[in-house]
Amino acid sequence: MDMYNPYLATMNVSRMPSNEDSSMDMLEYTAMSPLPKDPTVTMAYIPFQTKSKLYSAEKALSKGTLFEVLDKPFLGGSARI
Amino acid sequence: MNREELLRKLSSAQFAMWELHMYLDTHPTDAQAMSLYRKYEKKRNELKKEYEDRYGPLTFNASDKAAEWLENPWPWEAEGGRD
Repeated sequence: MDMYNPYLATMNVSRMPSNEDSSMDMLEYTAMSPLPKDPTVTMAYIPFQTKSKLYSAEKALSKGTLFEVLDKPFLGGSARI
Repeated sequence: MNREELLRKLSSAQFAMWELHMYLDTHPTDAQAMSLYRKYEKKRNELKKEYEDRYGPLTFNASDKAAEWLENPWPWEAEGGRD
């Protein structure tokens, strides 16, 4: 029996029109949804990575990640609201 | 392309491979990611060959000449941290 996976996409995610930088490679994963379709009360969920624009290899090396969506620079105190 | 640029391009291709490797751990059915991985792998191999042809082996198994890496400059022989 398969383990219950709340993230399994029940329907295909519709493709967003890409008006973004077309020179960037783009990965789109439709087997999973970012969040569970049927979340349980009190449980915390981490959004699954489903759409990923990719940096060039050279930029990735200097940024520390290939994935723009994972590029979270440490801003220290300046990010405080 | 000088030695430093070539090494940086090689490191970049290797880094992209590692990143896609980790992505494929959690997204195993992503065929597009797999083909990108192969693309960077091919690029890495080409750059590694180019580098080693010009500047000598990068790793232990890179060369069929015994202990050729011993002829490369040692870290303390490189001026200003690079050569």
